[in-house]
Amino acid sequence: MSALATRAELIKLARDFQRDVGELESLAGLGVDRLMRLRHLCSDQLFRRYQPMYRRVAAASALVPARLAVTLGERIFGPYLGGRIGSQLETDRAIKFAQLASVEFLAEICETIDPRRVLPIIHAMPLDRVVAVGRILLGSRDYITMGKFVDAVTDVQVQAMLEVIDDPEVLLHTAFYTEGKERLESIMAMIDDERLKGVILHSVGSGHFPEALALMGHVGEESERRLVNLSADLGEPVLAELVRVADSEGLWGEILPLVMRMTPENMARVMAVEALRDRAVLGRLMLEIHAQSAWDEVIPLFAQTNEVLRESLIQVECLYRPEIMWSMFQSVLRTGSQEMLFSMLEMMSAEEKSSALSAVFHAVNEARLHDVLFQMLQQVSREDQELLVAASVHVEAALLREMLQEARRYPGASDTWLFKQMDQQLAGTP
Amino acid sequence: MSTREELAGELRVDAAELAFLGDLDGAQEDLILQGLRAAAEQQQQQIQAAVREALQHIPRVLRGPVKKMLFRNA
Repeated sequence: MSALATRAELIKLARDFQRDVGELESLAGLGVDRLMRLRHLCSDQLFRRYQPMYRRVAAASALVPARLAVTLGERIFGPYLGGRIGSQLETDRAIKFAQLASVEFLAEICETIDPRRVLPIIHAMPLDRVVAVGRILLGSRDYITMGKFVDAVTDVQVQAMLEVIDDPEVLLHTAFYTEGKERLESIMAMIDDERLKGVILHSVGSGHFPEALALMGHVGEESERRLVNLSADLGEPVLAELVRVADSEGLWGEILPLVMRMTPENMARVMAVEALRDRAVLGRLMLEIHAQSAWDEVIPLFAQTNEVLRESLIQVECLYRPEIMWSMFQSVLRTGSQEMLFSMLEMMSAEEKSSALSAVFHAVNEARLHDVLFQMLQQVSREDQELLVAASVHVEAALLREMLQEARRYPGASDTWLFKQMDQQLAGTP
Repeated sequence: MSTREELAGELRVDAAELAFLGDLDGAQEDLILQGLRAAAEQQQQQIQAAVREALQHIPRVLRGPVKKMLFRNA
């Protein structure tokens, strides 16, 4: 879900730049990775400007007792400067200071510092301290900070935090701002199915399903598969929202690959969603299937659907575009889904039959793929050939004539029952 | 000087290091440049305020030497 992941990155950059995220929309084209690289570059440069000063003050802190240094840091320097000075301390000393500082102060430091500056310190931080600071961040619902720190903490620290988080909203939004795919993977492995279902349901109920989808698109294949199938297990409310978001937000391009990760049973559940009876919705889905060359994956699904969906399908205008009809036709034969195609052909009106066959013939003429078509037609059963002959009545004579002329050039093609019938039919046409 | 060069200057990197930004137009590059400057300005204010506050707790006679020793580029 790159569009949403990009948005998360833009929000983080806007926060660093003291801007409203809307002002940075024109940078969305950079995409997640380049935006993140830019943000890190800016953060690194800003830090370097004062790093010598941070180092000097950190070194000077060794001249006073730890408790006094912490008091000075907390009361005088504050979290912004104090955190940066702390980042330059030896890890052992930083941990000692962190044990003496208030958790509120540590939480404020978390809000102002780039965790990449303090990774060794975070990793060495005692669990009780991590959890205490984490609880404060949870209370403030500062998901951006939490997301950044999720990338920085260890698995053990994450596990400890997961034990104190009981709000699915926190998990969802924090994950949304988490940068590392691998980190999300390891967190997924720590969360059981029921809890993940709770997060998904919460996202649907609170209007944040796009964020959940962004999360699904941001993890590895296995976790993605797990998440989309858990979503499908939740049934109609979640799947209807999936279709609604995909269609209304123009996200079919990103959601279709997620659907492809579902089990065949769950994919069939998606196809059964009521909203897909809408021709306009179905049309947009089909355009995306075509754009992604995903017909081979989708045709077996359509083949499992009932007549109601097929009725809707044959009324979708874009189906009759030559390039779409031809791709679909080829895929039907490749996947052995002829039954679906010919049952649809039977359902079509004369005009639709003409459009369908003409579309195939036009596409074949255009791409000079007659040999492919003729080979394919030889796989079609006699019964279905009869259907094609009947449908060819509605095809423009000139187009049919051209096709038959081509058939004569291919050995065996013009001798087939199908072409002989079409030929006879054409002979009777003025 | 182009906006890209100004941005590189602000980031103290060679312009070639910003090649990853691709062909952003001038307005987009300026957006980044202004954002970075705003962040730098805010950082400077935060640090100067913290340093001022710190120096308040030091006897007046020592403030100059302490500032020079610890906070000289603040």
